[in-house]
Amino acid sequence: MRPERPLLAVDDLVVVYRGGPGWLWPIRHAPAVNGVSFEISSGETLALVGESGSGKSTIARAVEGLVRICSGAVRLHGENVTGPVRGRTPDTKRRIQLVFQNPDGSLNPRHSVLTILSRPLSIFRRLRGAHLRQAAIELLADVQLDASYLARMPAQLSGGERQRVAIARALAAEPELLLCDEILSALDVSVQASVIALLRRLQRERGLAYLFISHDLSVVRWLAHRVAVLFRGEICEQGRVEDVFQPPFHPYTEMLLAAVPRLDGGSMAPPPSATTGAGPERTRAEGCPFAGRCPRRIGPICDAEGPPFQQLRDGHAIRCHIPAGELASLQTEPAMPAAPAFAATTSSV
Amino acid sequence: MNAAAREALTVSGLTVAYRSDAGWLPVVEEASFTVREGEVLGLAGESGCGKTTVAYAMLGERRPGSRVMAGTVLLESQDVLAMPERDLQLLRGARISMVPQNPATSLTPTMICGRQVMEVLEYHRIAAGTAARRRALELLEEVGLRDAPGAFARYPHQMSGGQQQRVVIAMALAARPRVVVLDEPTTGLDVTTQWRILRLLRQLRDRFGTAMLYVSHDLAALAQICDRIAVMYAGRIVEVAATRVLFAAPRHPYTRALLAAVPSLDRPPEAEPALKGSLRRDELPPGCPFAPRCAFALPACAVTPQALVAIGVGHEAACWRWRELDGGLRALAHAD
Ligand SMILES: Nc1ncnc2c1ncn2[C@@H]1O[C@H](COP(=O)(O)OP(=O)(O)OP(=O)(O)O)[C@@H](O)[C@H]1O
Ligand SMILES: Nc1ncnc2c1ncn2[C@@H]1O[C@H](COP(=O)(O)OP(=O)(O)OP(=O)(O)O)[C@@H](O)[C@H]1O
Ligand code: SF4
Ligand code: SF4
Ligand SMILES: [Mg+2]
Ligand SMILES: [Mg+2]
Repeated sequence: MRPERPLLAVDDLVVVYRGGPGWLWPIRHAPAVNGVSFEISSGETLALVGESGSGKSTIARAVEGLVRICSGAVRLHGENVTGPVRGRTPDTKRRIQLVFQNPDGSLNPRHSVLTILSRPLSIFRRLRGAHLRQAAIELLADVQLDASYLARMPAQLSGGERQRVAIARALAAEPELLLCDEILSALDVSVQASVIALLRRLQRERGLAYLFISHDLSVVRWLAHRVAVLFRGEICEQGRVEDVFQPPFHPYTEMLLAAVPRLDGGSMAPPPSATTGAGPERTRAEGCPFAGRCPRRIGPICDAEGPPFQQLRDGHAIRCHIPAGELASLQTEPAMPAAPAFAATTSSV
Repeated sequence: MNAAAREALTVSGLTVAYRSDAGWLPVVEEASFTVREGEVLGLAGESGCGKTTVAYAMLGERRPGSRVMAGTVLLESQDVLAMPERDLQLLRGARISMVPQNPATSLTPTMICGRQVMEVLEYHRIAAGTAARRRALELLEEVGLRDAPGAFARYPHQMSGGQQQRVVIAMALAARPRVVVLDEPTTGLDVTTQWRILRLLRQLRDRFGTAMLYVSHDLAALAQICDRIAVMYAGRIVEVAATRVLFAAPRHPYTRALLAAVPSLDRPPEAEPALKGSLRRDELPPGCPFAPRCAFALPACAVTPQALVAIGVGHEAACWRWRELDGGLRALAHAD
């Protein structure tokens, strides 16, 4: 079903941040990303979800070549591009674009919006003069900003406007793969909807692929084709979005979904189950990474042995000692969140 | 909410402009609201509507190129907009503090995070030395950083986006200010981390009577923490109501569209967006600013200025058609 050679293949990626802060004691860092593998085809959206600090941005930076990879490989169209971004050809650089989680750090405060957009337009698309300006105006229009923004400096933009300029800059290069690190988080629902429509259109027209990092599961549910759920640097569940968002869930996915706040005609109480079993950090390398906080923990085996990936249908994989069938029957009844008051139907596509 | 509680923050007629080629361009107009002790007021609205501009004004802080054209911001009884910078510096962090929208840029890159929290405690003479260190560690733990000693000893660039954000929250809460202004404090945080932060804020409010202005475009987050919510459009407050009322019976067409546009886990987004187009400040009509996008606009709306009027107990809206449009949300939400 999936093409032979995916656009992007990440294979057994391990990233360890080195160097303590040089303060009283050196810090030994656990791997920020540990044995992560996934593929993205042209025209496909893979969402990456997981709690703060789970390694999402690190994965995006590794694909872009901005952090040192300890082991594993990153392949673009089958070609190994694992090294740092400096060693990549201009064409490879163009093909993969990253929109950073925090646009403030990535927009040069001394450059106007026009200058910021000009760089990729001139380097990758060789545009000049009036053509360049026109292309910049079109890019801004795509993110709901008018031409008057060309002359603004980043400090003269609101948070969401800066984020949109960062999106426009990445699209200026006409990439094949866009790494989107929380690109919607500073945007309100209506601008969000128009950026989502833009991403969909580009995917339809140009086969653009996305690695879509987001904390917003309600957006992920309807935008992504597949989802990888990350916990402490390891993927614990992966599969088509419709499979991941219904039982059987990995116990961590179950917890994440249960915590999604709902607009429930006024009162909105997320289940406090979100914080149950808030155990200590895992200290040993063996065992299930989720063991310290897992509400469905079955016993010492969870601490002692790394659980296997159980392969289910259509590439759906769950990494847990509990057999998937058992998880499904445990999870179908009360653990499923109740439908909000004004939702028409629960669609499962 | 205890209506008799004292007002911690009283804003009247706040108008802020930015310098542009065409002169001073107002981005916040005539904003008025109060936040009482032990109350959380939400400020919601579209990207670019002026939320951050309002937030900064609460601390008497001026963003480059901006100017307060009119209005007062009373912190208890002192107008922060009329105070000299020297006095403001003593105020900030101690009596009123802010969690800015871009956490990374408010941290010092060359100092470990724990030290930065300690400095707040020491600057405001809350604690010093080992006591400050202990308190800093506690604060880092309270904001949900699981490995607090690890977080303490790291430089900001060694933290993930959400971790930096939480260090900034810890700093803002360190001196237990009476008023906290939070600008998108939980955006980009996963649901469980967000839930912990909101719980922490609720505890502060309940235990210490801290007043908060909580700025966010995220209605789900606002619904969980706010006692009341003010909705802004194009620099103007268009509706204010108790949270429950706002979600159950919104009156302003913008609020209605905003609520209808919230993505849900259970139903796919509408093919036809509830809120068409985007906020174009260069095309604002002299009357109701929402007229170009309003599904209920009459020709007269674009030329008739709208002001907030009381339409219920503690409920105000700036739309002259609010009475006619009663029950309109239900029609919108259930149009299938
Ligand atoms: N330069 C660094 N040095 C040391 N540790 C780091 C560095 N950058 C990140 N880390 C750590 O690696 C882990 C993963 O960070 P990453 O930024 O990938 O998380 P994330 O999933 O993107 O989180 P968030 O949702 O908060 O942005 C975190 O625990 C973080 O503290
Ligand atoms: N220095 C400046 N000069 C000119 N215009 C500015 C300046 N700073 C902000 N603006 C404009 O003022 C408006 C309000 O900005 P503000 O940052 O208050 O918006 P916001 O509601 O916080 O938006 P967001 O949700 O995107 O952060 C925006 O349209 C912005 O472009
Ligand atoms: S292996 Fe054990 S600890 Fe890990 S998710 Fe499954 S039940 Fe929970
Ligand atoms: S005044 Fe008219 S345009 Fe404005 S919100 Fe009301 S109906 Fe819509
Ligand atoms: Mg991140
Ligand atoms: Mg803002």
